[in-house]
Amino acid sequence: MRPFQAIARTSFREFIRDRSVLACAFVAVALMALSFVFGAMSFSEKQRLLSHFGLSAIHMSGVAIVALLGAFHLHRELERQTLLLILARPIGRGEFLIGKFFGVFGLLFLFWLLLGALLFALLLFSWPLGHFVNVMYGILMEWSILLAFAMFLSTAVRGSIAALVTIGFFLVGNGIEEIGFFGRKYQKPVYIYLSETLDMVMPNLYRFNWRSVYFLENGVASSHTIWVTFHGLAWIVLFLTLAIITFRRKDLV
Amino acid sequence: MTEAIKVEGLQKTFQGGVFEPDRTVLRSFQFSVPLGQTAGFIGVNGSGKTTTLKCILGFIRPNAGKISFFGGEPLSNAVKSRLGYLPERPYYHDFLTAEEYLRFHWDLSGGGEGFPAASNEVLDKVKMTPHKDRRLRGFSKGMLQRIGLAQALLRRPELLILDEPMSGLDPDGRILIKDIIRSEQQKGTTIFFSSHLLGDMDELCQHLVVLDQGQLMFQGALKDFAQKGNVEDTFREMRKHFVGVE
Repeated sequence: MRPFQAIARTSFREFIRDRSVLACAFVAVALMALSFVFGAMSFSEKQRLLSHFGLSAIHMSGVAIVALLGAFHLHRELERQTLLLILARPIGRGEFLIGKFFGVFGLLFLFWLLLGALLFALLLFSWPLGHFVNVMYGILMEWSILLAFAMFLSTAVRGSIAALVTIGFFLVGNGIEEIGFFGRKYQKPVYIYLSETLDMVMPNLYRFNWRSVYFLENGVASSHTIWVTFHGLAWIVLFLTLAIITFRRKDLV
Repeated sequence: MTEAIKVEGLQKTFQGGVFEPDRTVLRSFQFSVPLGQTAGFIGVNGSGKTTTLKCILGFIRPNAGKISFFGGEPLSNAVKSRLGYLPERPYYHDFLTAEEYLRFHWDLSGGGEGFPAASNEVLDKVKMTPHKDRRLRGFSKGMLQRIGLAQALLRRPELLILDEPMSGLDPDGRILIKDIIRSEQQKGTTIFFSSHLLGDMDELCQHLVVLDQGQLMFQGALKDFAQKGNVEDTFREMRKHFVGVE
């Protein structure tokens, strides 16, 4: 087994025991259960409400996991000195970070798979599985970008700041289209310019948002899925590269 | 090749924050650890011992200076594969069993054949074989320290770097760690360890490095240092003379 695989595997085993992760999973399931209550109020809209609530619950709880683990884990490793024991072995800091990334990603994937399967069952298999997986894929890609970004930040600043900035990044990334829409509607060039600038300098997370009945019914165009895949991977590689560069220069005091 | 570690002109200043001044912790010094010998590293709290060890292992980037291993090699993965390290008060992945923990470190070092034999050997050496299937979270401090030492010895290192290996241990634990250090000495392993327990230096070391406030006070053979009879008395005398501390 390669060292980064050993780190990923051990990190994954550590994360699935993390209480904050279990709390996020509990909140996601509780929100899905709540959507049943809301759904019961309207016979015709039941599935629509359940899908909206369920997908949002999975999405948001995954973002919370990313912010917690991506931003704080490196600092926790350093505080406990487990990091020193690992880096005294013949592995580079870059390999360590890649291992950590895949450890958290493994956890997110399991979370995604289990909650996705639960939601699909709760939706009584109302839509084609392929469409549902496609919608869920957008969520997974968005988490991965946020994770890479949170890890990059955690190599440079404190965990709490990294977590807050990651959440801000998530909100702005999802709001780029709205900012542009607002600017065009009210003829405010500054907002149009802001939206275009943000679109160039950060990932447009809104394009990963397929969490609606429209996409569950019609699916996502394969060209769009491919574009999102490359767009997402490019940002992940960029953020991880920046994380490795910063981490290599960091004093592990 | 006569030196396992050679440190030249080592200097480190940590940058302060907005309202904090910069803090110089290592003030340009040199020392070496002879190959095949046991070298003790002593100094009061805050003298820069741990920072020096972290510079040696590449965890901290010095502002100036050169550190080389085994006769001139810079730190690299090839050098790291010949080292064993135990930090001061480490935390372990406590959901793992002792054997799983050693497996993790085996894999970090590149994996390969021979893990069961190596694992059994080090667990036996630190007297932890009966506990190899227990999770680390149930271990006492002494047991954890022994597992830490086991991971350091796992790959049969040529150079062992131990930061306060006997800190907080009960007498049995200290005796065991000292026995392990002696057994490694007999195999020709170079050992560099820091400690506040000056009596241990007398017992275990042939070489000594003394640091105070980031400056080198002494480096050389133990017998040259302990002219007053033992390390503790000489150290006290040195502090009185140079720093004015009784």
